[in-house]
Amino acid sequence: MIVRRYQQPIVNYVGRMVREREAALDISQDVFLKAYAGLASYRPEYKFSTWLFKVASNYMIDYWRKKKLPTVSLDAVPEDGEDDRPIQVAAEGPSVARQYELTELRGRLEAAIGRLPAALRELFVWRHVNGLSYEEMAEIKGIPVGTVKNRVFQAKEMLKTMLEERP
Amino acid sequence: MNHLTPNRIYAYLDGDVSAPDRRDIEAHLAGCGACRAAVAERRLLAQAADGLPPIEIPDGFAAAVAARLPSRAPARAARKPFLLRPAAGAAGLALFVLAGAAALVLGGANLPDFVHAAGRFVRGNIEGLASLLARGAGYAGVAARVVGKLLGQLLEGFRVLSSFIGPEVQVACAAGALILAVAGFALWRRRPLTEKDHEE
Repeated sequence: MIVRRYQQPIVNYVGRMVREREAALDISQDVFLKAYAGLASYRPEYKFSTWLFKVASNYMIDYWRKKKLPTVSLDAVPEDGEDDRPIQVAAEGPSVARQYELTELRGRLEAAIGRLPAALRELFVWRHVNGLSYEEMAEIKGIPVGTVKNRVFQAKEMLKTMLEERP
Repeated sequence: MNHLTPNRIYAYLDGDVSAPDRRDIEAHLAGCGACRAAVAERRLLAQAADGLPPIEIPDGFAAAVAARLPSRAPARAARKPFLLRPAAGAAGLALFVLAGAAALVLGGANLPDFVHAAGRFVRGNIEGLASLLARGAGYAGVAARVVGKLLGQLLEGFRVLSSFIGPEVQVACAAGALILAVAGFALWRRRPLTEKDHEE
């Protein structure tokens, strides 16, 4: 059954977007129902998982719109190259690697992901939690691959900055 | 010395740089501790992100989704099978009539007389049944009597009609009805399969 095959990736994605397990399970159910209702729009020449994530992404946009929560459009983040400055070399202060063990780092990273702007969070989760390729993400969002890469890099830099802040 | 940019570091970690660019980056890293630290730090973050645990899903999740799927029964009803299913019953009835008529003709019996007698028999029984029901249950009895009378009229009409039509024509009519009924039944059996049929 399709649900059993794709439930874990969809719940992982939705869960990181809404940051609440029960809500994530409810929304994921709705996503599968929406996909079922829209099966006629699926074209077999594309990967089914890509289409399913597109359904889920559109559902999340509607969800935030209905809840009147702020969603950050990709237009609101800097254009390619704006954040392409050389690394800041910190002479002092603990680095992320020195501050936390890997397990603790994952816990703090989970919290930091929730503080990312939604548009960047979505791409970061797809890349690192769902393991989507940049090409798949570009197809889902209908934007160039280069733009997707830049947004994912921006998300990582924002996370790094958040993790460097002392709790 | 120009340090590496974060985007270049991420592309390097993704393996998304050309061979000459990779050589340049590695040459730079060999001589720049700050960039080595920057790469190591981002690699650690990527490892942490890749190892985030999955969100636990209850066992009944898929079943809960299946339970919320819309029923496909209306789609099956939309095909109006009720127009075809009676054809199967009609085929059986026509076969019975045809076999009876053929036996009468072959046996030398008078078909109109037989039909008339059968009509009287059926009418008598229906009227008797209707009368019995009428004694037991008011409105149902009245309705049954009406139906009985209607059937009686129908059978009487059939008797009159049969007196004008020869047995051969009656047999031909019955055979035609049988052929139509069988054709209808065959069409019903060969209807397109639906998703529900596939599931079954």
